[in-house]
Amino acid sequence: MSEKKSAFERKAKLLCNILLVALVSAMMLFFAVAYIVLPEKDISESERRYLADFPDISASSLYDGDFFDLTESYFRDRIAGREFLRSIKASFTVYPLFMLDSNGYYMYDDAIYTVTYMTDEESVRYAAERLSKTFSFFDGSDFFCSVIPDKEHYICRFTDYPCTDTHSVAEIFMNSLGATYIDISVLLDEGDYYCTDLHWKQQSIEDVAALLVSSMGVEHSIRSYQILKIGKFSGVYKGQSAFKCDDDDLLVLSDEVTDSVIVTDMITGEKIPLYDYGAADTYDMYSLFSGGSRALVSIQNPDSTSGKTLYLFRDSFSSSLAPLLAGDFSEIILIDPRYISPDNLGKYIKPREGSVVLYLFSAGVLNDGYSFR
Amino acid sequence: MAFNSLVFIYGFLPISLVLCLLAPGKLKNTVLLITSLFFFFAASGTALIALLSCLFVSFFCALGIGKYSSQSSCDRHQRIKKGLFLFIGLLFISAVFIFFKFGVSDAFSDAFSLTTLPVPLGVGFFTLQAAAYLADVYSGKTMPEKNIISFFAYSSDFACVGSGPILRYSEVREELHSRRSEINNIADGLFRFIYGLSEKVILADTLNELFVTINSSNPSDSLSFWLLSLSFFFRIYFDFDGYSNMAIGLGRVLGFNFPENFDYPYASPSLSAFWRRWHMTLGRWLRDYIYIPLGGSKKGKWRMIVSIAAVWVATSLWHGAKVVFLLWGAFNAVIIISEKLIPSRFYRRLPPIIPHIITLIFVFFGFIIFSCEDLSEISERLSGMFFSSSVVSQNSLYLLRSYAFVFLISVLFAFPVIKTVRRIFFSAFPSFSRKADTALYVVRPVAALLLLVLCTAFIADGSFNPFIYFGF
Repeated sequence: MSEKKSAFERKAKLLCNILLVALVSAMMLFFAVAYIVLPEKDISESERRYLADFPDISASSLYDGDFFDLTESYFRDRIAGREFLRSIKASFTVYPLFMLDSNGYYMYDDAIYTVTYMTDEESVRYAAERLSKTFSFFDGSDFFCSVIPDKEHYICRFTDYPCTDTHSVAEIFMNSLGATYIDISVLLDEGDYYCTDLHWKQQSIEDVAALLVSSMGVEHSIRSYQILKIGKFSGVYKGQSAFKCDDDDLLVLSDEVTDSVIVTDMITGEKIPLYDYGAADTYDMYSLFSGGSRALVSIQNPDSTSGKTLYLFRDSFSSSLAPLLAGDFSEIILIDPRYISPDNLGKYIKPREGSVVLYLFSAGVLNDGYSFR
Repeated sequence: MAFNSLVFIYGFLPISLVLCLLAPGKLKNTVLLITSLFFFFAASGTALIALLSCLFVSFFCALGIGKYSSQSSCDRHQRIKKGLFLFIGLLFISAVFIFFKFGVSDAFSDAFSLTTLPVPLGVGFFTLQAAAYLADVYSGKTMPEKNIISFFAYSSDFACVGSGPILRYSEVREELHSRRSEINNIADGLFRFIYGLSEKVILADTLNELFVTINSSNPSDSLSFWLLSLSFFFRIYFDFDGYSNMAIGLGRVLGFNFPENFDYPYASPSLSAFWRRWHMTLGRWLRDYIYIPLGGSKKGKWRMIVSIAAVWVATSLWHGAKVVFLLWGAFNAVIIISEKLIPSRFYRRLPPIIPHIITLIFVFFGFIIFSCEDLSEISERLSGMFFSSSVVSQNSLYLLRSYAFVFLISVLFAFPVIKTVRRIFFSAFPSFSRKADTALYVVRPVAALLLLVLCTAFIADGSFNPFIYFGF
């Protein structure tokens, strides 16, 4: 009986071992064959980046070992089911390992947030000092500044997640820059930002636009907008975190002002739409607002009687805000200091006296202020 | 091309395993050699040249030693010639080691600077292996291998020569000439490989993320510095133990039985015991080729102290030309010598747990020295741990909470917790032992598949983290 039992156990172990070898071999074969068979994607839409190409072979790259290092990047980027594998990793990190974030991202109330461990005060000072060089250029104008809180700012108060200290950033920015500070943080909460992205929703910031305009001493006109639904928006946080999360609805506010303004890329002279609906089909949907990432953009309102010009030093958040300010100024010039140095402004802009200059940046961008030119 | 890279797991490994396993008996070593040389070439051409030059010299020097060993040992001339071959072989191997480990820019003028050359993969391992082979042939412990393919296949085996275990020729000679790959060995080997891979990519790399996060956030509170050191303490274990498990597993698949390299070192009752259970094959090498030849513990107290000091100077230099390694070596040497000098009855009076705790503290602080780049970093780390103005910060508390379970798992696997619970349970319920053993076999295929998927997910999503010991 015992011999029979041990013979059975031996057979069972053998079968299990055969199964193990078969399963592992099948998986190795699957991924190895998938590299050859599956069509290649050049762009990771979720992460918004180009995927690594298969490296060129050369004698020096082979000898240095660079070829195989680059091949590893190719293998990582092009592995079959990469998005699925990334979501497995994110889920495993947060659930079985009970970690509070995955690659620095976490979910709270069905929205995705990011962890920031450090408020880099020097970086904020650097950004403010770079911007303060523009004071003499815009001599005779009124200067204002404001800081857009990161959406994490509204969550950190209730949780233990580290985030950028918006108040500290605002204080350093205001003191280093020396412009009049407008506090917009009280008008916002976490619901005013996209669940899957870092940006605020245009439809939630009408009151922010009103506060900024009135605080700058300009009369704010009440506008009635039509809300247009552009489509589903999968933001940058969702792509980078690989968390499972419902996409946001991307809405834009439209009225006769937004329909009539003339938008120009001041570097190329190209006329561009205020809302580029074509960008809705790209992986960076947020770039549909005000031309997206450009160094200098002019928004002229031919129907305005205010005669005022607003020079708005901005990051991507202001792209969606600018259309809401367009009714109150004859012209708004959007200046992104990450793409153009203040020293070069004279080539493209002739400042008008009595204008308004607003320095409006998110706390996250100021915390990485070394990106300013 | 590290074991934890996708190009290895889904490119090199399946192809090389199929070729090695399907090769007929006589061609097995040739195929193993070709795949191993490709593995080295993938690291860099320099690695391949360094490896091949060492192997050629040690192969022919061993033949020379063997030729004169077979003749009368009374002949003085023969003994001199035999010694000359050993000397030439060891000199060349040492030259390769020193050249790449310490660079030549300091030794020669800038015009002859070769500092841009990368440290070849496994230079610290294949040079030790080659030196041990020559010494064993010289002392008659092993016969020189006459088949160059077999010798090269042993000396360059991609499974272990990159980062250990350090093999002795006598351990694998039989398997080199006749090895069989049975399904049970292949299954055991694959499982061991995947287990080691999990240790590396799930635990070691996750702990490395903590290390990097704290390091890059300018920590200023004590808890951050403690977490920094603790993350390295566990990371280095899972990194190196993981690599060793992968190497042993691959060896098993290829039909070899490589020696174990780790035996729960963090559970050791003394620092001497720790070093017998950590990187065991390096410890064995140092014992057999430095400690014992210098007299070891058999020739009096002073001889023992000198032997231990010599072992630790060698260990420090083997890790690289850094002051912190010398300091780390001196730290270990002083404690081990103290342990040897304190009468054993002193330890017997202590509760059994105390020596374990004291050892852990020594190892912990030893690894703080080891993980720093220079003396100022050691000072900064230690003062941060003990004399910071604040004990905790929001960041460090968050990181502690976030990584608490990872640390718990680390303790479970770095210490013999599961093994002990299992032993206690089966001694209380012996009838379950056999059933549990069978159940383990049933679960193993699914566990292997899930772990491999998980490891693939971690690798695909993460940035590449090479093995710490690839640097040595």
